[in-house]
Amino acid sequence: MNILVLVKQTPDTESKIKLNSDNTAIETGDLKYIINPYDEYAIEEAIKLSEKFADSKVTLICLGNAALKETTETLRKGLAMGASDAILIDAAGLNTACPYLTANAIYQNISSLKYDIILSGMKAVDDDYSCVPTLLAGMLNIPAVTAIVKLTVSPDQKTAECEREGESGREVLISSLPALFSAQKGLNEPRYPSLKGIMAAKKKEIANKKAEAVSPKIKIVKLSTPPPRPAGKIVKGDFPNNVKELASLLRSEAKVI
Amino acid sequence: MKLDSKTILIYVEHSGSKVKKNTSELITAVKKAAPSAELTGVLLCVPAERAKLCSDIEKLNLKKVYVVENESFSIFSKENFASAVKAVIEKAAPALTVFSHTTNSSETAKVLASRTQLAIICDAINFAVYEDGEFVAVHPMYAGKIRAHIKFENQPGGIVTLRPNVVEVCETASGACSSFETVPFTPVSNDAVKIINVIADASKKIDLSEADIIVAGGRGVGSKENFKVLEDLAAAINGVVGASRAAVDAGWREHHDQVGQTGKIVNPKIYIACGISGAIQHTVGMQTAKCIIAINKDPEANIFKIADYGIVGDLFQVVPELASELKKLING
Ligand SMILES: Cc1cc2nc3c(=O)[nH]c(=O)nc-3n(C[C@H](O)[C@H](O)[C@H](O)COP(=O)(O)OP(=O)(O)OC[C@H]3O[C@@H](n4cnc5c(N)ncnc54)[C@H](O)[C@@H]3O)c2cc1C
Repeated sequence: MNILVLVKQTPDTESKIKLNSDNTAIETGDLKYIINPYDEYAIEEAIKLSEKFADSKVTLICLGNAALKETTETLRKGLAMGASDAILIDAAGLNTACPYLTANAIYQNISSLKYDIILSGMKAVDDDYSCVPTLLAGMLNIPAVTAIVKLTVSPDQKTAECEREGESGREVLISSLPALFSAQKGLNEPRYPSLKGIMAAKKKEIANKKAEAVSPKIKIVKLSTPPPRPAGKIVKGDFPNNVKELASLLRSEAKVI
Repeated sequence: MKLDSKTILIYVEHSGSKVKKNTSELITAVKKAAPSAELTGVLLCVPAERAKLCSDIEKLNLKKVYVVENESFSIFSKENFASAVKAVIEKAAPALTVFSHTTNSSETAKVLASRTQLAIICDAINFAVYEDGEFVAVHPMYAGKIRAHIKFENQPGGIVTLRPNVVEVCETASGACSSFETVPFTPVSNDAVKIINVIADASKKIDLSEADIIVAGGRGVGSKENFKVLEDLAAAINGVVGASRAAVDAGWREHHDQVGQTGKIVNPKIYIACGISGAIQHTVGMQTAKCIIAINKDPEANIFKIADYGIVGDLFQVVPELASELKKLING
């Protein structure tokens, strides 16, 4: 089975994000990067499938700035977890703030590849758009099932049963393959790369690709920071008087009860 | 893209018998940004629901409502719903189509974007029209640490989804909706993906992202059984229970209860954090709540930095007492 996994690096979720002086971009100087947390679930699921089905191949696909060492580090970590190959599409010169453009750049590079399953994270925790998987699947004309928490591929590899949290409960779906699935937390527990995996990953080659820029459909005019929350107060006094005081403040001052 | 006096299509979300509050939020946000635009609606429903929804829809004060009636809408399928909205867009040619960013509607919007090639801005918290007339949607990035002001670039029309619960609804003078138009539609039979079962979760009454009151528990709650204390407070004030990742990872709550960067982003009126330390991955998910109350035994806990009101104490003492005090207030 051929599995493609879309991955990207995002700032560590602990990071403080600061804007540059003209509010057009974030300061990246001191940022630490991690693999987008949802992509780790996608990688793990792909590796689990490759362990189950003989002759499988897991190819990581990353659209990212090839000049940044963090981009290659992300791919090396995925390789160390157990992926077979990695393709890095250079995002330099592309306006990746537009999900169409991102999906299109990936499309250009994977449409001629052989794949049964494409896995991705359900969203990236930097731009928080969550649009690329659906848009890419549309371009490839394959089904997209988003935010899955369970995936079972049939022994003949023609269909997959999956589960996702819908509005009225847990949906159980059957999709024909090839299809794209985006991973929600709960799908699995991502493994830590083994020492052997880390050593093997160092030797693997990362294929460098490019993409033609298409015109973006949306544009960021500016960035801003949300207004800080005004300082609150600790309701003083001994129990239970402090709780009584809180209840009355919620009515008289905050007017929420 | 400029909006003046153009048509805007509002996706009417409903429960089968009632139009949901988030539909009014869409209308409020659009009217504020583009007062002169013409507002129309699109309603997808099964035939039996139409009569029940009519009076709610008339209150929305839309110029015209396109109705697509079909038995197939009894089960949600993003492909089927998107193709129905596409049929309406082809008729109404709106400059903008607006959805609520709820689980199903946001999926429909993304598939619609993919099928129509229309540009999409997902998960906005506000709309504005700039001095040059450009429509701009504000979308939180980096889990809300940054806000991006985004416009459509060289587009004839676009799609935008608005996060529920962030816009305060202003009641408009109610006037009857001037017209309904039924749009013919043949459902798409999607052989590629089939829903074979929906396992209803009785514990999940309302989606956290749409809740007005959330009582959330963290590692400090200590066990699955102990969450009963929080359930009782929630029941007393008509709220729902949420959780930190620590509580979810411990298996005390389901993942759909998780608030934060890898859970739900919520905007309730009241958020009561019990035994939650206030890690940044948690607070980015709830810091836009109107009133945050923190109950924690550690006076140094980070959660107190963003809380409007804090009580330093043992949650097992404080929470039941708070439930009984608030019950007294509510029952007058
Ligand atoms: C990539 C990534 C994504 C993440 N995403 C999320 C997310 O979406 N949501 C999320 O919540 N976390 C998330 N986290 C985890 C986050 O970093 C914290 O670990 C987590 O929020 C801690 O949960 P907690 O506050 O319940 O537990 P703790 O930090 O352990 O805090 C427990 C608190 O309970 C208090 N307490 C204990 N007993 C009592 C008592 N009897 N009465 C009153 N107070 C008491 C303690 O003083 C303490 O402050 C993420 C982490 C990573 C790395």
